[in-house]
Amino acid sequence: MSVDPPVVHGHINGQVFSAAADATLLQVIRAAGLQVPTLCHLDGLTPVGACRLCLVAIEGHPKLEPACVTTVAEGMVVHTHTPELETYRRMAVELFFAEGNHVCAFCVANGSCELQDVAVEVGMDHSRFPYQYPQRHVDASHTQFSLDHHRCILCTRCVRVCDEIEGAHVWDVGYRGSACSIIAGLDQPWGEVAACTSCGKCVDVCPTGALFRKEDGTAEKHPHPERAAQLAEARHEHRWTNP
Amino acid sequence: MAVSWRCCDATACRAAGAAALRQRLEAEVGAERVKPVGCLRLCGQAPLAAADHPDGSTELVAGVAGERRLDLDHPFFALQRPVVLERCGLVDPSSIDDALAQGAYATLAACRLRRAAELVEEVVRSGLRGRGGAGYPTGRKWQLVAAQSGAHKVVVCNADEGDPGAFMDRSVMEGDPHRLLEGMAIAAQAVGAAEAYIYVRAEYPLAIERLRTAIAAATERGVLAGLPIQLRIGAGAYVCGEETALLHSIEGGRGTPRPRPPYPAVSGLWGLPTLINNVETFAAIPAILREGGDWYAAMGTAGSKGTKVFALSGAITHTGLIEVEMGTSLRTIVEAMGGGGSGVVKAVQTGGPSGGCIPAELLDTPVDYASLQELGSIMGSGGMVVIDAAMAMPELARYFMRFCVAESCGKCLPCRAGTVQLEQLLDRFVEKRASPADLAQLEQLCGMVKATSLCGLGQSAPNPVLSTLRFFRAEYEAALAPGVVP
Amino acid sequence: MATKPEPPAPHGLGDSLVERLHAVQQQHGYLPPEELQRLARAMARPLSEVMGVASFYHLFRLVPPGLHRCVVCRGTACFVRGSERLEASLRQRGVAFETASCVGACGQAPVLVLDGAVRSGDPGELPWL
Repeated sequence: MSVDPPVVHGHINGQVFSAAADATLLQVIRAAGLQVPTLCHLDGLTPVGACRLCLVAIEGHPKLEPACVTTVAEGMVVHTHTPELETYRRMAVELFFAEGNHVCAFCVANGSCELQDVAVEVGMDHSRFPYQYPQRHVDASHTQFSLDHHRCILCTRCVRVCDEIEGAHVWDVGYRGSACSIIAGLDQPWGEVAACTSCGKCVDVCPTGALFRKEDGTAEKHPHPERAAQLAEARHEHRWTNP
Repeated sequence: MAVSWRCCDATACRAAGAAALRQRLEAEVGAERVKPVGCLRLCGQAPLAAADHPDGSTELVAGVAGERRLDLDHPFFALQRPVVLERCGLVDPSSIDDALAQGAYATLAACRLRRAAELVEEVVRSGLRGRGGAGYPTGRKWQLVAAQSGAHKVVVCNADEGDPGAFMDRSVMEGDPHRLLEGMAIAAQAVGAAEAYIYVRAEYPLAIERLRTAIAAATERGVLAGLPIQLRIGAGAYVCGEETALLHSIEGGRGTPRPRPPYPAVSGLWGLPTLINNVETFAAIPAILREGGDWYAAMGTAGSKGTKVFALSGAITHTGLIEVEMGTSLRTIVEAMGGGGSGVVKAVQTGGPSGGCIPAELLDTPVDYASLQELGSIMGSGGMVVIDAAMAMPELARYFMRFCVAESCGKCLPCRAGTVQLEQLLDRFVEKRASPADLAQLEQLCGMVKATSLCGLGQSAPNPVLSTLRFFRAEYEAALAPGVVP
Repeated sequence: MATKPEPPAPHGLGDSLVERLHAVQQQHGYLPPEELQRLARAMARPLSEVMGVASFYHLFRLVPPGLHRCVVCRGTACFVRGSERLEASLRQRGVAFETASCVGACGQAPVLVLDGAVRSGDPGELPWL
């Protein structure tokens, strides 16, 4: 018999919340009908706290905390949209745009891109930081899919979905710092990596136009980020969502 | 009785011709009267050798021919308070017999007769704080790990001394490796750990060799109270000095940090409760348990007890290794011990890429955790680099930012992309083509990277910029493009 | 990147991927792709994880090294005492070199490590070459 975790109470933006003691702040924020932007987080995958967009201010905590990996505690008083947080979020989105080569007008994901959505959400229409125009490449070696590194934001959703849900672990993060890139196999062309089952989950969960189906043209990508949570639930709890 | 010689056989002296000096001395007095030892402190004069005369007097000479006689009454030596370094320079680091003869493992043997909780209590009373940089109370950390219920716990030594300008831990490992092993074995007994790891950076080949020798000898003699200690070698990643990144690296993975909690004390190596301390912290333990926590706490200041080892380098007359009581003023260290700057002293940089610059007019600042933090720097691991007037501060800030760009692991956005932008902003100041808007953006981005990065590397990367902006803002303003008025 | 907690590993020297990579590099001077493949198979790890680790650490080389190895220290003390001039002199002489964040010989700054031996001296002179 499973025992339900105890319930804790607190405040988010002045609003009272009650939640299971093992809930994350992000779950609580969303359950309360509130919103913080996220990019690396995806329900169904292990959270990594890397994009820093979901940082919130908790009274009594000296540092800002990522909502996706922070567990609620009794009496927590949380603020999701202080002026400081809004400034930092906008800067973070600017840094994302400046570090890659994101040209919405020509992108397969135009209109269904989470980076674009977040930019709208935080009110960013241009980057005040100089664009870096990095020299990256496009891997079109796979028969069905392509990876355009120019549009990759290193959220590692593809790495996690392939490892945790598909179990193939085709992807990983290679190199380090600003030279980091998503690699397949021994940093080989994707199409040469025998471990790939061509399941397409990485394409489904990619928040931008970095991973896409070859038949998709500009603004034609239709991602399915919800599948990660559905598959995780089916796999771990034997519950199937029938859309 | 004839004279016996102790020849420094540590990295710095080796680089300066220690082998030639030793050969010369061996030819003079016979090999049996010359023994290799660890750091003799005044690295800038290397190679060094100390002569112990039959009448009990000691003299120190320098140079490949031993041609320079050094004054042991100079404040550089006289003001030292060796605790961590008490055997460094006296003991042959490759000889367990010599270490045992000088008291190694005696404290561990005595500790085995005491209750674990007593040992933890002694460390709490000592007021010792982590010497790796963050300054977390060591005793509290031990209490946390000791309180974990798991049967399988691990002790890890962080020997990934990566701050540029820091060589305290290297000196301990090269000069008195058994002290580190003894400290770890005491810690393992206190917290109930059954195995231990030392994660040492690959850039320290001699320290690795000495540790290997020491572990093998100590294990063979059975003096480690049955604790297996394994060496794990880094592969060139500064970020592995961050504890969660270090654990990932020991596990064999990419050295990327993860959000805490859970803290390693609860879930560390392979998910096991893990005690992580750095080299100097463990090396202070045998003396604390031997003399008592109160003895240690009697040294230093209210918030910073005991002694601290510093690596003194840069534009200063006497460079080398010093151990002083906490609370000693920077002026004492730089002017009395270091003999003043080789040029006009402009600032002292402490804490490496995570720290800041203390300007010359504040040299009376006592060296303790709180005072340095108040000035926007940190104690850090103990690197102390003297900066002279020839160095422009925006350039120094850019040097540290370049370091952080090269060492960022790339996991979180603010550190990966923010440091790159900060370096480019600093370029504009170094090249005197910045605008007032650049200055505003520099400060704002520093604030963002500091507040939002995932781990200590990113959170502290802006510190050298912020601290030089605080004390040397005029240099940044002077670097604005000609014709621009701030 | 291991995203799931690994089961308690069989403890023992040489069982971690980083240790095994050190051993391969010691034998071959660098990490040849076919050795990485062999290692992945032997350890039953994904190829991308092995490459992810190999490419993360600066001391692991993915291409064969030259005959001699020269590493310039970029530590603070070296920087303050002219390591940038040292690098410039080396470049001028056409010497290929790597850099290290700090080799810990700050008392001798500026220093470089030539085929494993720490050398120091006037950045303009390069007496060891």
